[in-house]
Amino acid sequence: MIRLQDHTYKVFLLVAFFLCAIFPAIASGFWIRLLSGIFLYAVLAQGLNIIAGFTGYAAFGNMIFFGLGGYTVGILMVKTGSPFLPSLVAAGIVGIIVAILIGMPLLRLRGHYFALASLGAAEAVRQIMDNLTDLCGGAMGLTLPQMAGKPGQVNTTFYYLIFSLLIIFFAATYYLSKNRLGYALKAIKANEEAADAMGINTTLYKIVAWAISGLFTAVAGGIYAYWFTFIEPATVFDVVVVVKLFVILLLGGAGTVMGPLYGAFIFEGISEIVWSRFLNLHMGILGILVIFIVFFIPNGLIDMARRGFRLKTILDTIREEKV
Amino acid sequence: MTQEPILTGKNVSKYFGALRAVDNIDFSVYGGEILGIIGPNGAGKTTLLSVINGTLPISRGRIFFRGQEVTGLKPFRIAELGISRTFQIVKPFPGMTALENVAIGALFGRHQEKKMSRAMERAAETIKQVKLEGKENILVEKLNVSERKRLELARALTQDPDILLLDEVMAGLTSREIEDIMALIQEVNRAGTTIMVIEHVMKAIMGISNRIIVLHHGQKIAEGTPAEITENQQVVAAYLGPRYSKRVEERSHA
Repeated sequence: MIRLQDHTYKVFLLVAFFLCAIFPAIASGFWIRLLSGIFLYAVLAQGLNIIAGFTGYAAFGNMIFFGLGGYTVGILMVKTGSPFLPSLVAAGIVGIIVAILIGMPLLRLRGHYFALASLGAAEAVRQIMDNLTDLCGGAMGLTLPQMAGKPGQVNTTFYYLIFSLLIIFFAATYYLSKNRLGYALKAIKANEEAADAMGINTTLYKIVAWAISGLFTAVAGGIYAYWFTFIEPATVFDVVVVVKLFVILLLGGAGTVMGPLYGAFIFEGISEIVWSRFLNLHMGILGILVIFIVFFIPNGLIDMARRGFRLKTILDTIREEKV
Repeated sequence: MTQEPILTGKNVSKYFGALRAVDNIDFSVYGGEILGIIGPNGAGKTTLLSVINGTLPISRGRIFFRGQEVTGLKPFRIAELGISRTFQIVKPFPGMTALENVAIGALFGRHQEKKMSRAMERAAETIKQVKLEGKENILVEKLNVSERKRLELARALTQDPDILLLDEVMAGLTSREIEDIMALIQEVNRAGTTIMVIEHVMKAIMGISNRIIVLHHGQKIAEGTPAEITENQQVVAAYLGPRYSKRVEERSHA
């Protein structure tokens, strides 16, 4: 039985951190790229977690920030020749600003209405990017310059870049979850009316949450663009990615700090190793996985770990959810 | 009781379509008092309270708090100014412990703590005040009805309000629990908090209120001391129906 409060869990985290830090020295290119991908998914899932997991707003349109982050880096590097890191900072700022701008009207909506409206906003942005041919290549996409160096070095550089961001963003999430902002978000998720009556400026905090979400997601988009050196609207605004992120959140535990990482590990691990052999069934298995999670571990693995991995607790959970 | 009212409402009205849930009500709340609002089901008590704290937008009329107009302000602004409320159907934050629930009132509300540790300390004090000690680290969904009612009260108290708006905190409690919570309300009042308490059960509220306002079909039909209210024919009619009230009147004349 694993219990998260245990001392052993802290030791486990330290060992995991150490292993990840030396990973490129001991693993081959394939594994480095795989783990980089998992970390990138974890960062994206954490971005979604802030608004959906902590605050309870199902932001199906979060790919707006991913796409715009990617395009910010792409356009700045291609059109102005600016270096990568300043472009990445600009991508983060774009994420924050766009989240604030569309959050002000959209976050007045609740529940399904917000989910749909944010999805609509993402579609609108995709259409705009599809047609901005002069600026970003439109639907044909945009090719970015490649990072200088041998493929092995490039792999390692991206690995450490993404790993550092993972650490920073997860530490930031941990910090906010233990502070005023985190409590405000959790209160909004639990009962927005009561949160408001208790003095929480719900509109402001929701916008702040989405801005943080936008920052995480846009930075991840910027890295993705430079890493894959090619972006097109159909890929970077793909809503299926958000569906995957929701599965990752459900799997790991929405509204927990580490849930997105564990969810990403399991989901991407399964996806890469098993599903690549069933290419045609990929989406089908995704669907079955969603149903399975909702039925058996509706509160995610973190919650299950807290209660202890036992068949009885799983059954208890199912019974409680049905009541 | 202060000479000047600290909270006043003028022609306060709330319409839901053609329904006048609150119809042209004037009221004043004096500092330090316990003002009871009573009335049959559907009289507009909760609606009035929701209009005061901004949970429901006002349709007509104006509300002033300490000389400042608060009409149309959002609930969080009202809470920051020093008016806190509880909900009839309690609205705890599931997934959080009782202590965390109460701490949110200290983190936000009127005197906002920037430090978590200080907010938790204040929450712990309030939890003791409402006699929930020992339940601090229990998830709120595990609390029973009576404990949830007291938690709801604690969440409002920890915001350190000038005025506490209580919406049927006694509903669903046993008579023993009602006595406890009445004592608690009086204790809070003695410590300096003005209280406006809505109650369906007349008996509970009569004993603790300095003044009573009676609502019926959204209108104010009587206002006065508990003694005056119990003898008011209109109030008896509203509660028990005009036929019964007539019988009472006939009997008293006989």
